Amino acid sequence: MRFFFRSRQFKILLISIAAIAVLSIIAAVLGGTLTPQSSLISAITSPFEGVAADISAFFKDAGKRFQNNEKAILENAELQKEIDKLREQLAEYDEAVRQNEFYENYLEIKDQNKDFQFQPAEIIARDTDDPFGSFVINKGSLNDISQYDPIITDAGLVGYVSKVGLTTSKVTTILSPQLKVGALDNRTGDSGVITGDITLSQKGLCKMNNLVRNGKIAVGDYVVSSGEGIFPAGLLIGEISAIGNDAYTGTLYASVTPFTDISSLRSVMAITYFPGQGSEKVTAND
Amino acid sequence: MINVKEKNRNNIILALQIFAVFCIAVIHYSTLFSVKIGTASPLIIIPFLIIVSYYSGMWRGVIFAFAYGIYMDSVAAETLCFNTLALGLIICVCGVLITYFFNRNISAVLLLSLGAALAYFVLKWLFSFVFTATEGHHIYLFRYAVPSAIYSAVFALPFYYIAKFFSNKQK
Repeated sequence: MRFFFRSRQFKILLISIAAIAVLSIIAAVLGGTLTPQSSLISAITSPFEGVAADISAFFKDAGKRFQNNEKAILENAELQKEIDKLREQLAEYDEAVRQNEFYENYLEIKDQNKDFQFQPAEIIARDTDDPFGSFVINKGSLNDISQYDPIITDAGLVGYVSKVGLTTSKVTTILSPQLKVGALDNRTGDSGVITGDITLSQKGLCKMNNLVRNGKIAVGDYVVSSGEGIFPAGLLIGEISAIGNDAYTGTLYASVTPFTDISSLRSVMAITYFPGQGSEKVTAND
Repeated sequence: MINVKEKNRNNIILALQIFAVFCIAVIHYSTLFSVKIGTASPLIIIPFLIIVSYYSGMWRGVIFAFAYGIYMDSVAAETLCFNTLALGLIICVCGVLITYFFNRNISAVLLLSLGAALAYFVLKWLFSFVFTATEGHHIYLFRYAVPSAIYSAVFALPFYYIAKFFSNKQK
């Protein structure tokens, strides 16, 4: 066995491991970017991943059409758009009701949404080993995507860009404990922090922490981003489905059902610019 | 001196192994072919690489491990180069054990596959959850990691018998 440790192949293995470790350290120091080898592999494989995702989606849709006729699918899509529109209208109605109290600043921030810049993207790969549903999109730094750019759909917030490559980016979802979003109850104005939880993520839920005990938050309330941290204010997040006491800290928390079904997403939108972006460079994970 | 026939046979085996790795990647990452059972998501590549180390030498297994690890890292959520280093080192250790300590039989293959899968998932639990002080990290260990490791080792059975079939045919 000592000949193994003296062999040329073992020395090559040690050098390879050292090189990979050095590249990892460089990438960690630079922060926010994929390692050079991952970036290269992503650039090469992303077109094939895109084709594979399209083929996968084609067969899934073909199967669905076989079971349900096309008319029902189109009708379902129309109804879903209508529901999303009604949710936004309901959220805006709640805003108007609270306007006389302390919502004026909130409306001013919402008006600034006209300055947002968007970049559409397709999901080309999912990390099936990640219980929090992270995925890879087909846009990167060449498409003006930066680290910490919010990722949304027309239904609501999905997550943020955690790593950026040249042509691909990794997205950490709101189901992940790594993400923390300052949030508000749209009806009462109670503030909290949206984050992920291992137990809740299995059910596709996230958690709203740091709630005050004498707050008026209730099941069925909508939660929106408050503008603290890396996300702009006013982004729809989800609906409160339960309220309880945290097993570890004893504080009050709420389970939130995201408006976006992360497991079935195919297309998303990255907000590449919004006013105030960059003033908070960390995810408030610190 | 390796004759031309044996060289061609080795090239065919290498091509088949590369195709098998490609198929495993498609099964692992495509939502169309889901082999997940509840929270158990198997890492099929581990028992496959054990078999490759058995029948084609440890260094081929290590090279495949590094290549697949790099691909996994291009998709993985957070950790930098974790999959590359973890898979490469685990398969290297397994290769040494195969070369110097284990015989080629189903028990050894199952034991090594289970050990390698457990090592990988425990390391992933440590680096992704424990060292980042994620709340409830023990839930990941017992609900995701251990079931996934056991489920991964199950795939050693079909790989072993397929490899044995082709190996007997060559003789």
